[in-house]
Amino acid sequence: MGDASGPLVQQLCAIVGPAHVLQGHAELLPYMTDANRAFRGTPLCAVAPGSAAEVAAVVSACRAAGVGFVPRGAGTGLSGGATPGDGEVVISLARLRRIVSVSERSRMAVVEPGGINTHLSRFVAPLGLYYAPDPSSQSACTIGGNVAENSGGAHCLKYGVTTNHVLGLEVVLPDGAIVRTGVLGPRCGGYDLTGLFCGSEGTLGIVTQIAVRLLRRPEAVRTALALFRSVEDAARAVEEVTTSAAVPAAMELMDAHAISAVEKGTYPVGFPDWVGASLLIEFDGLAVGLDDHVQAALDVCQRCGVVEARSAQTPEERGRWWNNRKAAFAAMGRVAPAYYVADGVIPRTALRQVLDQARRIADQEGLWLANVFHAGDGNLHPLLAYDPAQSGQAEAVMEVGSAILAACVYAGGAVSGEHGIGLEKRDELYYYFDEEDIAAQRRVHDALDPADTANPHKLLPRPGRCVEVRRAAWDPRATVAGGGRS
Amino acid sequence: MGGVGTVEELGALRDAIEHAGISVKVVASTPGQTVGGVVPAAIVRPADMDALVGLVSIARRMGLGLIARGSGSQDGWGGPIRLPAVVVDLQAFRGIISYQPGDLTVRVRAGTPVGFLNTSLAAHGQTLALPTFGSATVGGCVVGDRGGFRGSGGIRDLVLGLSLVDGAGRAFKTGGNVVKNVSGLDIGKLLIGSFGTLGFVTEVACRVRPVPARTAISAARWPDRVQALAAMRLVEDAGLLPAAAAMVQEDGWCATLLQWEGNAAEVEHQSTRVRELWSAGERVEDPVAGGRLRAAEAADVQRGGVRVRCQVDGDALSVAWRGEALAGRPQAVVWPLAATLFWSWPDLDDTMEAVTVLRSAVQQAEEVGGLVTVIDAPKGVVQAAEISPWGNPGPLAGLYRRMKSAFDPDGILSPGRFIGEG
Ligand SMILES: Cc1cc2nc3c(=O)[nH]c(=O)nc-3n(C[C@H](O)[C@H](O)[C@H](O)COP(=O)(O)OP(=O)(O)OC[C@H]3O[C@@H](n4cnc5c(N)ncnc54)[C@H](O)[C@@H]3O)c2cc1C
Repeated sequence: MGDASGPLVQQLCAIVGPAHVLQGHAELLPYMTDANRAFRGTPLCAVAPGSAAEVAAVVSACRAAGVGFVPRGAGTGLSGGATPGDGEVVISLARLRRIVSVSERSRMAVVEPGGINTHLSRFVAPLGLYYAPDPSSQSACTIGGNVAENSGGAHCLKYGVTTNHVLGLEVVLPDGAIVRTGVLGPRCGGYDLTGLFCGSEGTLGIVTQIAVRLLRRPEAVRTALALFRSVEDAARAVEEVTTSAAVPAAMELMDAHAISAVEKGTYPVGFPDWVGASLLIEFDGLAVGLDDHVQAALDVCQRCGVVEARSAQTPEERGRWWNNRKAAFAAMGRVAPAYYVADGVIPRTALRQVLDQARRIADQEGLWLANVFHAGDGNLHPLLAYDPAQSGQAEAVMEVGSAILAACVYAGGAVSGEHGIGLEKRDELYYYFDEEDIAAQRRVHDALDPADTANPHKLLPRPGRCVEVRRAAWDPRATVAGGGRS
Repeated sequence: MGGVGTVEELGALRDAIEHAGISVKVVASTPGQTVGGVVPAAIVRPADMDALVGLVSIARRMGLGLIARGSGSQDGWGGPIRLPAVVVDLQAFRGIISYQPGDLTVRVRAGTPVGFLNTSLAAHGQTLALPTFGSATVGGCVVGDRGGFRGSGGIRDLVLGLSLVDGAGRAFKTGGNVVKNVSGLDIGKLLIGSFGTLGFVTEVACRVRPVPARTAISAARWPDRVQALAAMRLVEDAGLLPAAAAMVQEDGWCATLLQWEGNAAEVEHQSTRVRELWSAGERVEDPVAGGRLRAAEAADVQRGGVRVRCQVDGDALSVAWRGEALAGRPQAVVWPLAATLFWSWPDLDDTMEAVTVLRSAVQQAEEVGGLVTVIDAPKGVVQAAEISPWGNPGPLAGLYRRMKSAFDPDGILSPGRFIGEG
């Protein structure tokens, strides 16, 4: 509870009420990291405002005091985005979780940022609608966090990531002003501020309301599970299925290591032990013609050496397959004391090559690597097991992760698909970008937050690190200037 | 600071270009070539990146406005350009930089016409889902936010990364080349729909998709707008999933048009179903239906008379479509999947009348909470009607200004056209 520990804290207590200000080591412990345990900081305090006006007042007070603030949703982020620096103020959006309005005809909902992702879909389900972006953490993470990270999920292969579903925002800017953009803003032409705020990781201000697009529940869904002897075969199938006429709703790949972990987890599927890779393929849409799409995909798998493949026979079976997949990160806990997840994207044509490189990089360092990822859009999630109790292991794992990202960029890809940059990957941005590219981002950042009080030091690389980072890259040619492979 | 309104001044521009040793062709413009209601002094064609960067630096020195142009299809949009200014023709920036059919991605130079690109993609059974009307360029579609009448988020959802030269002559890139990429601040979004006021887009990376196995068009004519709207509602309520849709109203008739894409079963099923749902209407056969659909898709780049776009949400679309506040019986096109209407008075050139219809359009839009954008109007009409061609940004004006000056500190890019100046 708030005590007299300094003028800023007192001010914050006056704004949100002392009951909503947390202080002291024990109370602040949950706010010291996000789901990436490699980073940690001790905030001055954590406050939970109850309205946009209170958020604005808190932000203004921090700015006046020259203290950085860190927005926080559920803290499930994987790149240290919600991890405070020492002495900063954590602003939890947990109390702002109303669903403000739902418009059935316009297929739009306006929500507050602290609401949980799945709650929205559950709320609008009676209207036959749902909110498409579905990060695997969706039963815990907030829509505000999703907007800030521009989160993806299994079904963004067909439906796109968060930014494709956000129609307007209310944002408290770093100077405390409240602005409304897109469909929530004034009806006028102008630059796409909504698009700019999506994925800005709290560095341009705090999102206090979100207008999202809702989709109609597809009439039918078909899910197939294909089992391959090798990752190579499965990866080839991914490439061929994505380029055939229909876009699957999702395509998720697990390798043998990941399978060994999920089979020890809460939702085992009972994979045979010869399986080198599993591919979960889903199509949705009109009932008519859907079986043809599934059959076409299974035919492709056949050509790629699939050993066993079948469609889910019941909704329960489909549910089990998906639970098994979505619990994959959690299941890592069964095989290692801790794991680190990297999040690179590669062109689908480079899947086999980069998976192989990643394996070799991990082997070199003697690390256990599992792959479970959104294969359809080339979004790798190499999971590296480690033991935080052993000194140096956490650092070694991060370095291997970074080397894998360099390999991703060298193959024409990107350093993050959906987990964001945060504290973790700031310098890795230089694998693809050069100083001019980053300077342009910094100019836009500084136009909105010149004093750098909004989630300070996140998202953008530290100045002057470009050359150093590039030299450290796993492959010196990883820095392809001017736009990737030619 | 000199302008380039006169022969001598054009000479000064030529001299500066020669002195800089860059390859820029300068062509004096002819009186008919209006851009944003004014005649630019010249059209310049930079041959490469060095030329473009050099040109920007000359323009800053001379206080010369630069108006980016792809194919010129949106030259009429926005406020009148402040002179002196020259048109910068980017057609030299052409060609595919990299294309991996297996990745469904392509990176092209921005001046590449969409039609040309699609011909190349077609050889691999793929396509970029953008309108190919006229010689529209990929870069032009990006800065003009030309998504067309498909239901998705239009070009915004297709662009993966950009390269550009900004108003200070700085060259940089944004985003990436893969279908999903989180790459720091997504500043590339600002360029989409920026109408040449933030920078010259020089390269575009975008996602492409396989050509659908089958396509078909369903079309019908109705005696009035109410029935046409009801026909569209039937399709929606039946849960059908058209890839594109339009309603068209011209004197005395009204058409509903749908495009289907998918496998044989999907296309067959949906077009059959619509035939039943629309049995009360008068069927329009191919190829007339196809022609109508293509024309409706080009509603945003037609020129002549007074033309506006109105963007509305959900239910308001049907009120706007009835158009009871509109003067002078305009033609209308609706893109229901994109929540967008177009009203046009194609032959109107009388200033007084044009002012009246323009004001009525703004009033109609206001009644439904919609936004009007002026696409074309005879010279001076927008000013005479005392309306802002982009609506009133209210409290966002300051943010737009900050974005503008982050990219174009001296305000030389298409001055007067868009928002965020002053
Ligand atoms: C097991 C597991 C599985 C995951 N699977 C996926 C997946 O499939 N796809 C995916 O994309 N991600 C995934 N993630 C990552 C994570 O869940 C997402 O990034 C999520 O969007 C974070 O939401 P959050 O509410 O926890 O945000 P937090 O972690 O609290 O915050 C994330 C960032 O957003 C900022 N922020 C939060 N709220 C606001 C606001 N209102 N305004 C401004 N900034 C704000 C924070 O400052 C921080 O920078 C997974 C994480 C875990 C632990």
